[in-house]
Amino acid sequence: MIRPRPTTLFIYGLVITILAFISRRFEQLLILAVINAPVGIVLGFRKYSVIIGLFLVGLIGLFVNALIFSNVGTPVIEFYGLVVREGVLTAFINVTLRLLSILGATLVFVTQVNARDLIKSLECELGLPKTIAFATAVGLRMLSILERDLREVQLVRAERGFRKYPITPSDIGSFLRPLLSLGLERALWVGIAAELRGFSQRVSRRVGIKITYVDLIIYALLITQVFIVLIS
Amino acid sequence: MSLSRRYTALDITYLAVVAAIAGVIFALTWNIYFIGSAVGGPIVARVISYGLWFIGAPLAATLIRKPGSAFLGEFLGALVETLIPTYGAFTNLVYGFAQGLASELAYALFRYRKYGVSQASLSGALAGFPCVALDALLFGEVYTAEVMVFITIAAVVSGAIYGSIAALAVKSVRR
Repeated sequence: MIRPRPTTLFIYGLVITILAFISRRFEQLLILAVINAPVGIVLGFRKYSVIIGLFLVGLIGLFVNALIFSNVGTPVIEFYGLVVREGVLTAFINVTLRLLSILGATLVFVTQVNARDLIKSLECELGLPKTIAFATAVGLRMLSILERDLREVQLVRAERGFRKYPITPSDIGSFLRPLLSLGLERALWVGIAAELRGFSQRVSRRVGIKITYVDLIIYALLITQVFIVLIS
Repeated sequence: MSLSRRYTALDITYLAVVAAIAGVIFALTWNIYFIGSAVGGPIVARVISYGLWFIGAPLAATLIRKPGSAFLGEFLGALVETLIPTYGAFTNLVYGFAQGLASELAYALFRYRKYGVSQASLSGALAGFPCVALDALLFGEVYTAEVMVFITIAAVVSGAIYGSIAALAVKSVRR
């Protein structure tokens, strides 16, 4: 099966997010949500069920906030003395649709794209500076090591009778210091090794974007959504 | 560009460390935000969590001390967070870009000559403004103008606190 290029999905996700940010009307947001949310949720249901779950939990908070701050207009529902007005529903539905569109586009992106391929693809095809590409690639490699360091810091803190999870700003400081210290020690040798291999002389090689029919379909879908949102 | 302002491979790997640490902090901050939101509402949630989302810029700038390092620290952290991915999804990238630019302004104001705790604190505080502006675009329908003012103050204060913590942490490590 031909997969879409990482760059294509990155551009798609970013443009849909910006569209969701700027769209104000219900119809615009509905179109974005109807197109993106089902595809994203179907693709990411297994691997990213936590994010979908958090989204659903977040909706409760969103409704409570709307109830506290936007309870204006004509009453729509009355529930045990609590009057829910038009403003609450309008605000809740609009924000939910906006977040659904962003969630959908992101899930499509993260389920179809490998992070390292994306960095390589962005550097070669879109001319992402090597500073950003190299730093992101090394950063992503360091994530698993950092996770291990974090667990060790938690263990040591627990053994010394301190909190395992940071709550206060002082806790954050005491978590940051060992993580930085270990990370910088590693970074020093990674940097020296990269420089010895001629990193500063390295020139990013730009290649032409080979667009497949899958990419074309995605770009067509994106352009359609942009037009619909801008016209409606 | 003079040698002292050019990024060496070492600077870039330091940026990578900041990106990875910031990415992990950004991802974990969602839990703090949700707990804070459930316990104390939107303003308390922002005071305790928003500064953590601005920590990439002061961390990177205090460590690397070169123009653009604040922006790159924040933006790369957001890029890593997007690729992990977290609840914020692609919005992380938009927020990271805007917050990074605002944080960079704090060092630009001092002509990139000072990278102390007060600059880091200002850098964190300035990131609060674009963050709240983007919040207004995203959640504008839910919060009223008065609430947005309180949220702005909360974000700025939180940014200033965590900005100074980041700078102090870097200073203690580099000592």
